[in-house]
Amino acid sequence: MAPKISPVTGHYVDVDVADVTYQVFYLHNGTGIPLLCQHTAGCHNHQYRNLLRDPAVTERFQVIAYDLPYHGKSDPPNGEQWWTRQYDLTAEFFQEFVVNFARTLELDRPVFMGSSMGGVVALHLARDHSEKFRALIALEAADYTPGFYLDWWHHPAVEDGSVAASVIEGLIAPQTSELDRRLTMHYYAQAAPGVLKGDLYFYSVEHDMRETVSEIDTSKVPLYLLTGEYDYLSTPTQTIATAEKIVGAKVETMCEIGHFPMSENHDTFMTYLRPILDEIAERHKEP
Amino acid sequence: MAALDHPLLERLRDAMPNDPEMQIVGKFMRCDVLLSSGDKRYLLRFDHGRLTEIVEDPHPALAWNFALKAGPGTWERFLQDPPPPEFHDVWAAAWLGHLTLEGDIKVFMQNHFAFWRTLKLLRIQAQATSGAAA
Repeated sequence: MAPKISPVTGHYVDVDVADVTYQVFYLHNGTGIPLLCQHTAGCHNHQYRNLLRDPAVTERFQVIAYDLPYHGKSDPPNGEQWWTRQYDLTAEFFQEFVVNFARTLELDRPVFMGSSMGGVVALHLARDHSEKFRALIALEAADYTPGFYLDWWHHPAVEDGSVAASVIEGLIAPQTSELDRRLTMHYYAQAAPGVLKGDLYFYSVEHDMRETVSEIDTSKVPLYLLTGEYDYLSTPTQTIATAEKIVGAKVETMCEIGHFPMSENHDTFMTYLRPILDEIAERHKEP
Repeated sequence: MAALDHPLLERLRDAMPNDPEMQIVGKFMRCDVLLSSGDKRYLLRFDHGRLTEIVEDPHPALAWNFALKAGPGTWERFLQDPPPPEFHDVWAAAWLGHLTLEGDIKVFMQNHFAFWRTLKLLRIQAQATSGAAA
C-alpha cells in the first residue's frame, strides 16, 4: 500500500527582526494568493491543520502557517541570551516579525489571518501596515482584551501544560468534536514554560486600541472580523462594538464556534470563511 | 432541566471511580470545594480522583479550599448539553459575572485538570438524570 504522504510541507527560514536572526518553522500547501496564518497565544501552527489540507482553499491560496519564535518548532533567537530576559511579546516585535517574514518569503501582499492574539495583531497591522497586505482577517479580536496576563500560567506550584489545556478548553464550543477538542487542548499543553504568559502580555497588557482602532482605513485594506459565540475573552458583543468604530469593516458572529475556529470545527468555520476567501479571490483575479 | 442538588452529586460520586480519564488525571487530586446554588450549599471533599464526602448545608466552621457560587439558573444552564454561551464553562461564567470563584486560587489551579474533568462528569450525570426523567 502506498504511504499516505500529506501535501503539506514543513520548512525552516531565517527571519531577521531588529538585527536578530530567528530560525522560523512554517507549514505550506497550495498555490495562488498567499494566506499567512497566525496561531493563538502559547500555541503553534497545527491549529491550521485542516485549513492546510483543504483543497477548496489550497487550489486558490498558498496557505502558510508559521510558528512565532519560541513556539512550536521555531526557536528562540540564536546568538542571544534569551534565558536572561522575561519573554513578553510586544506589539512592535509582533508586527515587525509578520512584515519581515512575508518580505523574506517574497510574498506579494499576502492575506493575513490570525486568531486571538493573531486577530488582535491583525488590527495593529491594519492600522500601521495597511499597504503590505491585500486583506486582513481578525478572528476572535476586540480593541481591548485585558485581564488574562496571569502568573498562574507560569508558576512553580502548578503544572503549566495541564492548567493551560484545561483552562482553554472552556474557550472551545461544546459542539466541537472530541478529536478536535482534545487536539486543541494537546497543543496548549506543549508550550515551553512562560511562553503562554509572555504572549498574553501583548494580548492583555499592551494591546489597547480603544482610542485608535477607528484610524484603520478599510479603503486601503479590507478588514474582516469573525468571532465565535462561545468566546468569553473577546465576546461577539465586544467584536461588534469594535467593528462599529471602523468604517467599512465587515463583522460576523460564528455559531457553534469558540476562541479557536480553525482548530475547533473546520467545516463550520469554512461556512463563514469561504465567502471572505471568495471575495478576496474575486477581487484579485488575474485579468 | 437538571439542577445542582444532592442526588446529582451522589451520581457524580458514583461516576468518578469509573471514569478512565479521572483514573489518570485525578491521581493527585485533593481539595475541599464549596458549591452553592442560591441558598443551597454543598461541601465536597475530593481525594485521589474520588468524591469522598458530600456535606449538605455545611456548618460555617467547616473549612474549604475554594468555592463556586452561583444562582440556580446559572447551574441549570451550565448542566445543559450543549450549554449556552457564557454558561458553558466555569471560567466563562466567572469572567462574565454569572458565577463567583472564591478562596485559595492556588489549590484551584493545582487541581484544575481533575476538577475540570469532574465538572464534565457532573454534566454527563445531569444529562443522564434528565434522560431518565424524560
